[in-house]
Amino acid sequence: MKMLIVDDEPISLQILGSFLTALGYEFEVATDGREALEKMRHFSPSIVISDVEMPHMDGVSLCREIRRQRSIQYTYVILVTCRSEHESLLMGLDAGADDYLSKPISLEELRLRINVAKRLLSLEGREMMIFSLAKLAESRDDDTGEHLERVREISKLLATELSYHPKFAEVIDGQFIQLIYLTSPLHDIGKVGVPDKILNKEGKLTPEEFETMKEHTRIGGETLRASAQAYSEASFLWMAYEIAINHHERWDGNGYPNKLSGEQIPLSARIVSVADVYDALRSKRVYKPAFSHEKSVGIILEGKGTQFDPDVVDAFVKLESMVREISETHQELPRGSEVAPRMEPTLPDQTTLA
Amino acid sequence: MTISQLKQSERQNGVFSRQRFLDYCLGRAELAERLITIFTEGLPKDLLDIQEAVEAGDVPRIAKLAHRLKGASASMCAEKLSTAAATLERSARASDTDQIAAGWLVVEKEVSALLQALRHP
Repeated sequence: MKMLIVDDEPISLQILGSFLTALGYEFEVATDGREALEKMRHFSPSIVISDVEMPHMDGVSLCREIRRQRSIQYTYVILVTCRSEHESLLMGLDAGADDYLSKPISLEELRLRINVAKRLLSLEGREMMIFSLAKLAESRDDDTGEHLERVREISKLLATELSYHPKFAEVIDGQFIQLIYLTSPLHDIGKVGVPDKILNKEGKLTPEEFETMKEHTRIGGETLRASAQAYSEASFLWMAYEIAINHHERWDGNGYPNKLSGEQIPLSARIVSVADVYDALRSKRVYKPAFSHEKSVGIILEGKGTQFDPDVVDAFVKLESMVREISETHQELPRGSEVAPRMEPTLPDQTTLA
Repeated sequence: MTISQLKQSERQNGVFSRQRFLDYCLGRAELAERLITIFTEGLPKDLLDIQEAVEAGDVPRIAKLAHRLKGASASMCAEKLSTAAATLERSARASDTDQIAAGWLVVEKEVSALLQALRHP
């Protein structure tokens, strides 16, 4: 595990460096935030330990910039303050710092704080594993693109917006948003139970084939529920189950597998449903071209109150330019490439998997 | 006063404890001495910079320099100086000229005491 320590004050750098060496960690050094960012262009520290007040770029600004930049792996940020700097600490935590240390730093406290960091970073490994499983399930049909990336980004965006809605403020917190980002890629994991001949059929499905295809919700949901019951401490599995089994339900009760309606459908599934359908509309299928963003938004709006939760649609419309940006940023092939995914969400006014 | 009594006195009055600092440096005498040298050599200039800023009435610079001294002395386990620097920093951020003047005198006094403790172990 590599670290980066950032401080313009030589004494603090020497002490912190000596402690990290004593604990067996490799590290690099920067003397202000700007230099730290420059160094991070060439190596990815797992942990950044930074003083708050520095010339050119302070620790809070550095933290904010680290969070703003997209990175393959999470960077754990510890800010170092003096005991009286409570306000700086709050600003740092608000900017995305994960933890803090007060000077003079004690070796034991440093060791324990780094252990906390290592536990959290191992959870990030869990996220990668979950996403890999979802990708594996997705790889059996022809769509090997970034559908899952788009769905999770859009779901997270919608959930974040809805967290400000009075109706959902108590339901959607930071953990909910994190979980929907983590688990929404598993929405079609049940397709592993659908035969290839149906999954990859190019023509219209027969009614019997369609019923088989619909089973992917039950297959995915029941698998995830069994895991959630076996590992009750893994709370994320319950949301994964909710989404997998309910993302084809409709607000008006005409969905499947259980014909749930309205708020009987878990909020997580109501959110992912909009994200999933939008992405399907923007993708080319054997029976339709890729729709433009404007047309897709219009279709989602047509489904407000029938297929979709009206509040989720309102959030979607409010953020439609950001949704568009996500859609057009995460592209694998030119949008409109011919694919024949069989796990098609029910598109408004269309026969499913026609 | 014996040496052990002097060291006991240092610990009690919070100026500086060489033994405590050595413990803090994991018993590594060469690290402790290197840090003491760096700190001792830099202190007179730090003090001069603050003095110039006080005489010029440059309040933002006083705050910045006091903050830096606060951090460095905290890292050196020099608690009294760190506290004095923190007080000066607060006064500067509040633009309280009377408190700045008083705070500066305390910082000067604590630096002097600390240098004494560092140079005469």
